[in-house]
Amino acid sequence: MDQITTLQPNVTINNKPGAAVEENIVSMEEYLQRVRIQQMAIKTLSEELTHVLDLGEAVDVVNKYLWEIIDYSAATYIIYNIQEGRFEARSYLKESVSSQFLTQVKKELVEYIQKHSEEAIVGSAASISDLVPLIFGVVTDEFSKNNINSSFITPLRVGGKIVGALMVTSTKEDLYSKEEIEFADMLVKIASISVARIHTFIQSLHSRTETLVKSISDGVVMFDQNYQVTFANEAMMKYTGLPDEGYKLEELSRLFDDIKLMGLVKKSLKENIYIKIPRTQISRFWYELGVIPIVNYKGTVAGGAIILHDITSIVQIDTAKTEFVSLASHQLRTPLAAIRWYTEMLLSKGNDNLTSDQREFVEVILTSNKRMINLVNSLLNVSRLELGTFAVDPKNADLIEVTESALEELIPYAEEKKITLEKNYQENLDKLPLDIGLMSIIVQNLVSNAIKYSPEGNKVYLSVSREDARYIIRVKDSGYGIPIEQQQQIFTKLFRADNVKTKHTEGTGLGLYIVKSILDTVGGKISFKSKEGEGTEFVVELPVSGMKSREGIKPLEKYRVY
Amino acid sequence: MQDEKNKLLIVEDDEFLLNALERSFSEHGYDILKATDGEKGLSLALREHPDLILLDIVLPKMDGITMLKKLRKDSWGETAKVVMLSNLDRVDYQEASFENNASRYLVKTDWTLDQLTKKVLEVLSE
Repeated sequence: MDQITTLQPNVTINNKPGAAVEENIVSMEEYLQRVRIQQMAIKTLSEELTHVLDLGEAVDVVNKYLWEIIDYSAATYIIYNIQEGRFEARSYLKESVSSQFLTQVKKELVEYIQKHSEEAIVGSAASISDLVPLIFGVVTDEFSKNNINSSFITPLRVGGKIVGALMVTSTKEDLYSKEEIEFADMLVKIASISVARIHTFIQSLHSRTETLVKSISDGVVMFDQNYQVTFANEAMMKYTGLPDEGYKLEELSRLFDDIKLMGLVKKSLKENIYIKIPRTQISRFWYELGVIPIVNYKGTVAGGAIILHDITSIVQIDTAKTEFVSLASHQLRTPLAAIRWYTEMLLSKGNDNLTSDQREFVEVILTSNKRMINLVNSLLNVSRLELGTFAVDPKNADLIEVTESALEELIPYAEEKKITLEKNYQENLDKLPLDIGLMSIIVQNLVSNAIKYSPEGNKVYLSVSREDARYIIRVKDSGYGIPIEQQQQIFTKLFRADNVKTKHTEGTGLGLYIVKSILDTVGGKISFKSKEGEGTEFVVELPVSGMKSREGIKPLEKYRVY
Repeated sequence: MQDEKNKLLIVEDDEFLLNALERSFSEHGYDILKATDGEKGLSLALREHPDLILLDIVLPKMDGITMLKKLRKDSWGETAKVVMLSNLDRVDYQEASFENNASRYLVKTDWTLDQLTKKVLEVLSE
């Protein structure tokens, strides 16, 4: 085939020799009509393109106009998809052509792009030649549809770079006047400018975001659908020792011993969900880790990001606190236990050697000792609650069994105060997810309060039942009750009602605060009715779905309340 | 003649607590063996085969949890009755104790000597 290059630098024309492109004789009437149609097309194309975000879509729109105005067999586009970093090809067939025809079209287009596009865009020549075009139309095996007899190519530009090309081809001979080619070129240019403008806008947004992400102290790494790292900020490189891009996520994943990062990433992208790991480790440093799917403007997941937030100093503080708490509990409780046991031996029935004054004094020592034991126990737990770091780990359990086992430890206290516990359990209750440790703390606090704030010899009622979609625990006493003006404050920390402060000195004012904190966390509720001088009833509600689990740093220590 | 009395091993490093426990359990008619660290506790247990071991956790030389684990590797020690008696109520220690078949986990300050004795009697009769 001969090649005629026109004055237009971007347009290549392939025509049969002798084709008199510029000598077509048309009537003025016809000419004006064509110009009008073309002008109208250009105008409406510009309007239509204002909603179009990528070149692929723009090409669809352009083709609609070409289809109307230009005679062709196949209009074929190869475009570099900037968002996804690869080439796409589409052939729109206005009439059937053979696959040999299309192969030739592709070959010529690929050669054109390889020649005119920048190396950075073309990347490996192999990937562009392997391209399989999407074909809209009918492919035939008729021999007569094999030959390209008229054609022209016009480039697609974004930001001064050639990012693709359109090839219009026909099995007919002698088509495509200069005017038609200019028109097609014009349409493509309009489409390119429109898309380029949007890209410039997106890039300016992107560069602002990138500057921000680069400078933050959290480590950020972004990757594509193939888990290939495309970006990592400085903090990430510092935390991981890995380069800024161009490696596979598996390498990053291997740095974590305690989590399977690849699994989390795949889950996050597959289900389009944000995954947060409160605590993980790379060598001796601790991080909070988040995996975020990144969706493109079409709403489909195009990759993701991993964010590492350094919590090493928080973990160190928490470890120091846990160690302190352990140490304090051990160091304080050893002498407290010695004082308790020796004073008890002094007061034991077999020991008649004490005068009544001596006995009274030793009893004071014992009472004070018990208060201190109580205080130590409460402080250990409040420190944990305050941080909000206790874990909720529900397992399927029988609420009555858990309640009974919690009560067991209160029996000596009830006996000491001559309080009878009356229990009423609904039969055949289904198991539900409960954190047994936390459930015990709730039951023990409420029942020990009921015992503590009842006069000797009274009764305490406890019931467990199911009412509709809730499990209900009621703890009722006929003790001192809570003064009405103070009922608002009973769940606040260190609150103790005036009427019992004088009667009972051993309360810490922490019990109900702890119970309320736990129930708020696990999805339960607590309410009460009380009348001073008549008693109090607490009602705990749990949903039948049980306690909500929560990952925490440590379980709450077993809380002792008496 | 075989000794009819129950033999009790107390592993506790605080002298005052150890003496109080010894005194209380002797009064209830137990033969008492004493050890003030985990290593001595383990060798005494394996030699004397006590009916029950009262075992502290924070101990010199070898801590109580380690001693318990080592005890469970012995053919006699595998089924020996052990009551943990500690000042620590950390859940991880409790779990480790129960995973190694401790019969009870008691916090010292929670109990009077009388109550402790009752608990131990309970375990002995199980």
